[in-house]
Amino acid sequence: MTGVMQGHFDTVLLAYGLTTGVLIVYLAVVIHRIRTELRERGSATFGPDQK
Amino acid sequence: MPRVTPVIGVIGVVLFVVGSYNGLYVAPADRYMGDIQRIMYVHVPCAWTAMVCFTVSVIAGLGWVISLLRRRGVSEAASRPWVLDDWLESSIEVGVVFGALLIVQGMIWAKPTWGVYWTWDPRLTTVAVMELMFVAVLALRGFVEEPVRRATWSAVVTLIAYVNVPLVYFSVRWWSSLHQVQSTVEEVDKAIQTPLAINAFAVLFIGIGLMGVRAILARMTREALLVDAGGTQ
Repeated sequence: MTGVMQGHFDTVLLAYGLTTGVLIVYLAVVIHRIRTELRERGSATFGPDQK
Repeated sequence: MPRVTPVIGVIGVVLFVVGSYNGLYVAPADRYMGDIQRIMYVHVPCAWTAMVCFTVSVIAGLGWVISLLRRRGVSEAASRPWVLDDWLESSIEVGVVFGALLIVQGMIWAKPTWGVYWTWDPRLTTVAVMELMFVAVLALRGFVEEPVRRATWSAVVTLIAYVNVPLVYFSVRWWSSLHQVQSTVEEVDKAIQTPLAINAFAVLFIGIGLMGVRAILARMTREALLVDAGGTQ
């Protein structure tokens, strides 16, 4: 068991956090762009009443 | 398909929570690498999912090119298989996201194990080239506004870019590489197989979910382009 690398659990958590964060932000950006597109078409199915 | 994909994505998120908890807190630390090996439970699934995304894009691109060849002389834009172009765009973008994650996770892993964040190793180099080539397809789509031309050019460039995907896979076998060769099921302990298998499906399902949502956006922007172009080519 010589040469076993110790520690680095925080580094692993960084990788998992980064992965989760990037995917959440990416999904949010795509949903935001879909909402913007819907608004530009004037057919938004959500949001305040524009009348 | 896009209606089902968000459900698949949600299943993927649930699986990812289960698989990551298993990989971080249940599976034992690796005999030699210790805890840093736990990055593998997210790094490898991201690699597989990126390759699946790029494979979807090349199937869509191939489908578009074949339809173009079979319908020579038919000029109406409405008769084109636009769903293929929508999925080409969505799968490439999602693949690029997973590819970027793959590279960054690899760098985080490489620093404590290899002593450097980056080296021009065959595997790393081919992955970087693959990523840049698919980014180039997205950039090309941004430059061309005429819908049919945009779809055709990006389909052809996707076919060229995809040549690099098998190179990435076999790079560790064909050339002397710091990166480890793919392991077989027999070589991996059951305790490590379980979180890896769960996260493999989890990240794949998340990727399918993202591709489905992104395909909706691709369809909407393409429809707007077709309206701007007058609907005929």
